Amino acid sequence: MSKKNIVLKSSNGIIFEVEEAVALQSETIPYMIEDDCANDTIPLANVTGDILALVIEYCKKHVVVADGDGGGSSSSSQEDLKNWDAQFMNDLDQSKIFNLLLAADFLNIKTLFDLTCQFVADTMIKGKSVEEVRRTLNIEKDYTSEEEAKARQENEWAFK
Amino acid sequence: MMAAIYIPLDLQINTLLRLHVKSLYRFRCVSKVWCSVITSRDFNNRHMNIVAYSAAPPRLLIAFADFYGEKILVASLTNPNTPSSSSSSSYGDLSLVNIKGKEVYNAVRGLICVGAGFANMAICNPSTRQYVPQNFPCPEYMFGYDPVDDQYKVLAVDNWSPRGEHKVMVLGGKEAWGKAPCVTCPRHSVHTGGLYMNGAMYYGASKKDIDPNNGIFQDTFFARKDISIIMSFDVRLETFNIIKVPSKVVPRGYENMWLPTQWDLTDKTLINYGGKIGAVENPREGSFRMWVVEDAEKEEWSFNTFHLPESAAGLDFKVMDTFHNGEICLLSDPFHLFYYNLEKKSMRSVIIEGLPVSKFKQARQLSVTVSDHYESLMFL
Repeated sequence: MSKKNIVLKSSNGIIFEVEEAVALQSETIPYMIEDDCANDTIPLANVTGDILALVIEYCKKHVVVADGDGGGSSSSSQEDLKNWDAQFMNDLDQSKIFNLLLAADFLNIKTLFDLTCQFVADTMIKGKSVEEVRRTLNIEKDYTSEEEAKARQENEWAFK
Repeated sequence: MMAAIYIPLDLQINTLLRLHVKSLYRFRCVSKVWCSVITSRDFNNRHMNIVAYSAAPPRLLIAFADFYGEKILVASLTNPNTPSSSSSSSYGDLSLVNIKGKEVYNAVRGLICVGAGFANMAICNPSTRQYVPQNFPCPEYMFGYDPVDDQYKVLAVDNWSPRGEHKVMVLGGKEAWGKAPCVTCPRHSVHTGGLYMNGAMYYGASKKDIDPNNGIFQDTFFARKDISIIMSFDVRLETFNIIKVPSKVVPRGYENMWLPTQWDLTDKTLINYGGKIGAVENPREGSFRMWVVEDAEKEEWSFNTFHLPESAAGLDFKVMDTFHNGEICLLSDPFHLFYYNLEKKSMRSVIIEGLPVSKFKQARQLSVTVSDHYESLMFL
């Protein structure tokens, strides 16, 4: 049985050819195929080549398990996949992680989106100070000093 | 230089949904936008869904009144009930809230209902340490949730009024607490604590068999036999429904399903048995019985007897609740938890270190709630 390939093009013009099953983990791509059936290449204007490469790496890893011969959902391979996911995220720097989050959202890949959100929550927000979180996520402080002091007082137990 | 990456609010929210309640309360100080997002009911419900459907097992909630009956201790901790984990939890992951009250009732979606005797009750969120006392006198409370309209309600059951009037209060509703509509239903006596399950509250009760041809005696205490029932209360519609306990199910020699004699307290607890109502007897002399309502309308009930391991044969237990994994929690004297697995018919001891439980008061006299616990962000 011949496998159909899909060609994806990143915002900076890098071309990736992947198996259909890999690309279809994205819920956005099928719509783009329908809308753009005349052209074989699907342009992804929001995703750069290095991030798209990561997305494809993730999807390739996850498609194998979904297609496995019945053994795909066994607990050991689930465990392996979890470890792989953890390693995959750990190897990335902050800017890559943020871009991956944006790409997972744009491409609508639910498992990757959940993984990235959880990773951001666990490593960049949880256990950090209010100031650190503002800095990491570029959030403008819209409290006046008095308001912030009051808010801290109201939520004092959560700072202990 | 790294260019600043802007994460849209929608994605920030999705990330925040993965945090624990305590962190979220701290991060209400990040910005006004975050504060209003985190406090919103919508975020609260999405957070609860993520917590409840995540792979992580629910926490364990233990609430009990102290020796003097003046305060209630509510502890939330990692539940040592996953088979792979060790059967103990220690003080390190124990979060303890100390509130005023005398009695604990049931917990629903991370909130717990407590009573301060005959005049007051309160809803407490142990995850946020919030506590709202209400003047709502009644001897018995049941706490429930309406998943359609997203409302928490307290049903106050009046055991003593001859009219059988019961009151309902909506938590945080537009109407003030206390200005609750009265709900009438057939007069009955309440015997067990409340069980909340899938939009309804249940409790074991009995009503007098009223003979229409002999109206004179119908209110005489000794005149008629008790009919055993389970009252179910639809939290959304605020209507009662009666589930009859078939007479053949009532244990021989019992006054009714719930009471050995009319002077006793009940020896049974209602539990959620995989979505069905189960009535479990407090284990005595090494065994206990469980009845399950298989089909309320057809009056089909199943019945099973379970035996405890020999090591536990001499202990007296009180049944607490079922956990999500189907184990039943048993409490022994002095205060000690055991988990009983109904499938494997096996039991194990669970040690919770650092729980400041009174050594002077017998566990069976304590007002205790032990149940699965999901952290709630709910702002009271």
